[in-house]
Amino acid sequence: MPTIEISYKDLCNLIGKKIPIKELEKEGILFVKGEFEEVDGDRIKLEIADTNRPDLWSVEGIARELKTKYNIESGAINYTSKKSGLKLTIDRNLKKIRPLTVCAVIKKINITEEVLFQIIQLQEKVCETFGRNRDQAAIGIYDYDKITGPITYKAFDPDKTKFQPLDYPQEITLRQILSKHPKGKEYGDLLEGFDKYPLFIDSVGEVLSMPPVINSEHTGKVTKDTHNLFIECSGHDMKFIVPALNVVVSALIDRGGKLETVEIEDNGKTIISPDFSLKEIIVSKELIIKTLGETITDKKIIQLLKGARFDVKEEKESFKVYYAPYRQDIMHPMDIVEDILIGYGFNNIVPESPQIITEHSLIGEEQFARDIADIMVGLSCQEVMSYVLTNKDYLFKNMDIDPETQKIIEIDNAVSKNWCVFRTWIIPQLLEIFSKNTNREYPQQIFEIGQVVIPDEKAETRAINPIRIAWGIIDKNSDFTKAKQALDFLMGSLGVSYEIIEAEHNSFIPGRCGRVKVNGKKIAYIGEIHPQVLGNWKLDYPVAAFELNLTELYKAVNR
Amino acid sequence: MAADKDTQKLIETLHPLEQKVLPLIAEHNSLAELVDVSGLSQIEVMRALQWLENKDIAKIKTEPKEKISLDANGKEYLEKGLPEKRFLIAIKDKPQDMGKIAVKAGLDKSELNACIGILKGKAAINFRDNKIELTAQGKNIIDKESIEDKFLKKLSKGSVALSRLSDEERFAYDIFRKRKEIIKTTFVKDRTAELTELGKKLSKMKIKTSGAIDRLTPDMLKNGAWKGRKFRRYDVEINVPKIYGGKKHQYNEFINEVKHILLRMGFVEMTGPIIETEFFNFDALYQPQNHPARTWTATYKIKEPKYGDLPDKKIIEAVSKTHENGGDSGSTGWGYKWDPKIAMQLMPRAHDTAISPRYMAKEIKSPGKYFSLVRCFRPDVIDATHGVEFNQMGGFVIGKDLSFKHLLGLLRDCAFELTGATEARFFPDYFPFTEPSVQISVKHPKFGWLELAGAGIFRPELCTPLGIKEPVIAWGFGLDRLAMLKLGIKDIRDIFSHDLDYLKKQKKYNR
Repeated sequence: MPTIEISYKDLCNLIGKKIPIKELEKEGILFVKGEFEEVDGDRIKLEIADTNRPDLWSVEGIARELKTKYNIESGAINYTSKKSGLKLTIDRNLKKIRPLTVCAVIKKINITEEVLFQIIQLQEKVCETFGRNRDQAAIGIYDYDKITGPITYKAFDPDKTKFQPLDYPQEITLRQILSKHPKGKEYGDLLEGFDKYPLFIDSVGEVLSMPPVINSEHTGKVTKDTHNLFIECSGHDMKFIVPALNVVVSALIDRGGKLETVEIEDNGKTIISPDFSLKEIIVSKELIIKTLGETITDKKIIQLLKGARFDVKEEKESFKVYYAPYRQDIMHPMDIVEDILIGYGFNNIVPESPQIITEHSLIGEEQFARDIADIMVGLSCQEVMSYVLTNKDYLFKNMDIDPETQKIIEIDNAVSKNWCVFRTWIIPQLLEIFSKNTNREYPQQIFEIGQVVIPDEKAETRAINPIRIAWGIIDKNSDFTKAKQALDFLMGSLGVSYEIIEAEHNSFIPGRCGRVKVNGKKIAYIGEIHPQVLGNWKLDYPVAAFELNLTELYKAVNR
Repeated sequence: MAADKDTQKLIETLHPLEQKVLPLIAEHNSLAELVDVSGLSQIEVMRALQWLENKDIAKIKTEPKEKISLDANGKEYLEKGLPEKRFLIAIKDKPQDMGKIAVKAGLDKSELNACIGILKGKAAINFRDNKIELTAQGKNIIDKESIEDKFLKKLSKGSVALSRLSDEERFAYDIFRKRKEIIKTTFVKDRTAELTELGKKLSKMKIKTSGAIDRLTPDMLKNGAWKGRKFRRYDVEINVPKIYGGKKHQYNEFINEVKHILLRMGFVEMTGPIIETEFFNFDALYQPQNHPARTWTATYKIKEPKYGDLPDKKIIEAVSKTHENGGDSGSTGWGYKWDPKIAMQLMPRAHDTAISPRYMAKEIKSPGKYFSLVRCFRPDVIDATHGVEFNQMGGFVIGKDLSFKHLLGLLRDCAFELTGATEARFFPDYFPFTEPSVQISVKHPKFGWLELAGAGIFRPELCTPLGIKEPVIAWGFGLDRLAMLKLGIKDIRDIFSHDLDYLKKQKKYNR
């Protein structure tokens, strides 16, 4: 969720009315799905929940919506433009590198320190979140008066071309920028591997920028003394770069800038950029009423649509809704319906419990697991809970098991090496708990019921998640008998008969380990933990344990 | 001295252990001495003292004392000699280089470095031509038993109280303390007992075993020997040693309770695999394949295997079309080329909503209410509000005439049932798979306004490809947060606490 910092005074100036800050915090900001995080004097930090509405990630965008909420304006803003006369040519050699750009000119803008802060913040948020860290959209803003048109967008040899990047003392080659300039280090991977790097360059050979990395010191520096701006957005897909540019441009127009277009020559096609004409979508009346669940007049709907910055033409069964080009989120009439409901006010709708009669049920296996827990606490066992994630040392090394003999699912980008594989059994985690409680009173008798993750090539997602119960006791005289008594009590309580056959398992003492069979199916291990394993866990007392597949046992009980 | 009535009653309540210990306290006051002279075990003496203290007959004084004993390296050095001694012996005959010394003295690199520091400090060694030689001072030291050696030997016989160290021992102690695992300091409580005024009075009286019955035995019951005899009076107000029975885990109890609330509300439980395809995690929920929420930093990836199976062709085709151009959903779609290979990638389930499209694609009834409550996995940095794993509860309600009004009603009902709150407010919110989207806050009787859950109507782009034509209300709760409120837990990591003492003391009702 984007978090931005704005000035309260600036916001009120843009709205054109002083709205009490408490009113903004409690009501106004909800209108744009925002939430105040922190207020410090005039500075407000706020979070915007809608990650699909970059037009709301700026003070200008917020003010634009609030102007309708506080009845200062309504309907879509009709942005007008003039031709700037500036031309830009896209070279064919960018095709595989970064083939697209759209741009605009903004004249006569008054840039104060706050405006500059807001422009940079919006540019960064849009490129980061919406532009996928500049990959899909990188925006450059330049001092228009230092550019001599026409502009060429073309790729150049990274070792033979030089310019002075922003905030750097001298000219360096394009390749050096990637290794030396902080922005080069940050975004260089977007260009690495190409034999040429893209540049915007003007007719006298002055470099504007190397997208998506860095502007030049000469033309790419915007200050309080800048009055006219050139803005471009480069990328690979019009779906990203057009809205990204439009969001920034509309904010600058709202600041008083005058929009002028640029003529872009893209290999034979000519585009006039930006296109700020309104777009349209048809929304049926039925959808609005059905979704709201209350009757509502057409007049009210029109009022709410205008309040959400739309222009409307009413037809018989529907509305033609017109919206500004910064609204890139509108894909379906439902997106318009939401804006109507927000305008209507969620808290003005009377909630109604859905009156539907349904069958209801819980997952049998899960409830069975809870019944098992009931039985186990009768033995004075404490139930414990661990994560499903653990690590290889616990699963294998400490348990004296060769990791080559068992498949596991391992996380590729783990946050912590303590939790990087999915458990295939639970007894290791019981031993972990014993090892953390050596200073507590003995005997300790614990159990855990939970899912494990067993790789299975035949399964749809290549793993299955049976529920298991693991039980263990640590005490000076815990032994196989204790484990079998507990198992016996559990099976007896369920009325399940079973047999134990001798088994080999590295984690258990040879000759004191068995597998439990129910209806001919092996569903559990039981035994005394090997002293070597106890030593690995730094345990000074013997441990007896069993681990039983409850998913299988559930089947046996329900046969 | 004759006992008055109260004192007599008091004497009658004395347990045999108390009767035995009480007269001894006047002469011997340390716990160890009392154990010696009474012939009782330490626990018995302690118990007697505690009872006497409860009756205001004696007072127990506890003074913490630091005791020093040998640690792992200390024990090793006791056998092999201190590293610096071994170092000196290694160069006794002729100067050696570091490698040789390490082998001869059996020292690792960090020990070697520590030795050089120590021995240089004592001017016992000298560097010459990359070799280390013994100085005159070194020769002096080598055969003598040092203060450190002596102290080591002393400790080998048992732990020593810090306060009782001689000056020399104190010197050695200060050196050892700075080195790794030679000695360890433990705090032990030193207990002494002392008689109160009442105690002094009683101890002067003859406490004779009055013939009162202490414990009722099966024999007495059989032969009637109890008849006509008095029972020793107990102090019924006395504290007894605590015992703990088995307990179910409080968090599982909470989860089960939540499930039963939903059951009562008419919900069917759903479940799904822990390892999930990106298809159900994202694609089926209309999350575009280039969405930032699908990146390396936002979700876990798994090493092997990389790919799972996709559901049947009809659904794949419909989902792919919807992403690309909206398909039959009435949407423009995201407008990009959908790649089945990405959808096949496996990942740990990142949210419970992954389960909903699985059911919607095949086995739901309309009208119907469905929920799931499952463990989810995301690469969050672990802190007081982010665990290694988290539980989410969510689901959906489907029905022909459902509207936003019902969504609010359902969300409110769930929130009230789960928290006991009676007031709710709704806020516009954003979720990629619902439109409109809403968040609910409720006024909790104890904690005030709380953001509790999110909900929305599933987007047509999600429902249409799965063959669902009726409105579907989706909702979800962050369960761990709710659990923290209900269980009174402040740090989310405590939910999975491994401290058995903490777990066995959990209360059944924490509200």
